[in-house]
Amino acid sequence: VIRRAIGRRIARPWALALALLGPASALAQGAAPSPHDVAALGQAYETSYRQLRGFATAALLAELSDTAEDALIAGSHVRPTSLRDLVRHFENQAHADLRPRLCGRGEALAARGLKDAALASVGAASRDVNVRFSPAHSGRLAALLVRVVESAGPTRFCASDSLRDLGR
Amino acid sequence: MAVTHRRGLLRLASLLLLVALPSVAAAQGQGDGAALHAALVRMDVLDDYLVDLTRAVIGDLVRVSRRWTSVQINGRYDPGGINVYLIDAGKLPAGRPLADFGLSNPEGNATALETARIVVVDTAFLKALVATATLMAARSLDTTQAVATVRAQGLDAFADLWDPARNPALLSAGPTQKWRLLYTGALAFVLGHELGHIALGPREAAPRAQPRPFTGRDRDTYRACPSLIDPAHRARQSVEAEADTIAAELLGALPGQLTPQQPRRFVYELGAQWYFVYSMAQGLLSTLFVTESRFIHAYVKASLGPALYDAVLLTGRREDVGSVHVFFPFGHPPDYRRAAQSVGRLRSSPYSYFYGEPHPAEQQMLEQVRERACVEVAADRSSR
Repeated sequence: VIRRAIGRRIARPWALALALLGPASALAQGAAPSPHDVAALGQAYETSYRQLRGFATAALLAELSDTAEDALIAGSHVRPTSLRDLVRHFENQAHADLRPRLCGRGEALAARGLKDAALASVGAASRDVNVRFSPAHSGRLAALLVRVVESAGPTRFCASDSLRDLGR
Repeated sequence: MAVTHRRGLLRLASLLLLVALPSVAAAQGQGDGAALHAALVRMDVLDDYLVDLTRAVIGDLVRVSRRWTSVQINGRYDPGGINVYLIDAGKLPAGRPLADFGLSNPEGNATALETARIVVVDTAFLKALVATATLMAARSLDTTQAVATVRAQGLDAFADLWDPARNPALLSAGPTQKWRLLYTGALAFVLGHELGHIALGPREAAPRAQPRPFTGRDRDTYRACPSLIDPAHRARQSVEAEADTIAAELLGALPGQLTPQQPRRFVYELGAQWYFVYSMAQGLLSTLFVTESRFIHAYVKASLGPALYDAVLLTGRREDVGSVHVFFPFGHPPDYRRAAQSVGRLRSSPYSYFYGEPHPAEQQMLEQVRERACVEVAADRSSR
């Protein structure tokens, strides 16, 4: 009988583990959770939630645009840990694809100390790219990339020290 | 004078109608309630699963609501209180046996009959919550992996976890034990949401717009842009959002004003948050069956591991209709938005463990992506 009972418990290892886990904890007695418990569970929630929200965004992009899907796979962002990572990825791509067109003239003006003209030039180039970019890329992705550039600001987006200095 | 007199009569008649209508609706609801209970008994679907836990949770919610005074579970219909029916929806006859009562089958979830103050919960949903939460603790899995494991092997394979007769720890563990607080808090949010519907009362949704000639992936894409497909859509979703708000308010009021460090807040606040993670994990797996997107399959495979990914794929039939509708359903606002609003409301209480934590900017980025996509979709549509 005992052997059968033990066998049954072993056949249900999770139930056994949970039965052992349960009463031992201070929390199990209904005590207030420690700050450590709160922080650990709160952090676990945040991490999971961000990953799933990042996935929802990436999936939406992938479904809307073949180009976005290619970019997501090529950029090793198969597991974006957060939406911010994803946007950073697009930002990097925007750097590579758009920077010469967006920043060239602005940097030249910035080097001459013409701050307002430099910023206006980058802004104008951004709007121009917004229109002209579509044929080469999916229109939706291009619009998104340019929006990322615009939200980041030209002084952050352009690599030139002279232009970045204007933003400080 | 005659005109004034006639106006007075009309006003009186209107007043009488306004007074009479709610009681007519209530009487109708009571009739429906008794009939629904009789039908559930006749179909032999009532399932006394974790009744005490459910009673404790909904009892807490009802107490702080100050709207209702009593709760009964799986018993004779009580026209004066909240009635909860826990049913095994898998045993319902084929078709829509609850349609006569204005209810869709609550398969894998819960639903409310507002006029009769009835909440119907599918116990398979509750068992899946319990199995997933305990599996996370027992095997150190994250939520997505645990949800996938339950889906791949089927709920019956985990009866050792969800059946109190086989897992006595379900009844003996303390309320703030991690795995127990997850399913308790998740259940509380779901019940709070249904109580929210009851508090709001029945809302007649505006008639749907004429069906538009969207087919295939177009139809899927437009799901992210509700206002483009159905003007009534936004109204329907706003009712759901209001029900979420009431749920969050009830949960936020539970611990009381004088004892901010109660374990109870810990249970309800974190458990409610976990419910959305659970629901989004279910969505993530559902995408596998409706899209051939290389990215989505690669992501899920990396999240689950190849063996679990393959096992999940074996549980359903695959088609390529697009996965946008998984994240942007008709019935509810998207989970990420529900989570942000409800969790944000819970955290706005000064007694929240996470009070004052900033609202993540990433949420706004996702909305920006969606809105941008919808602008493109609208432009594309108008150019056709």
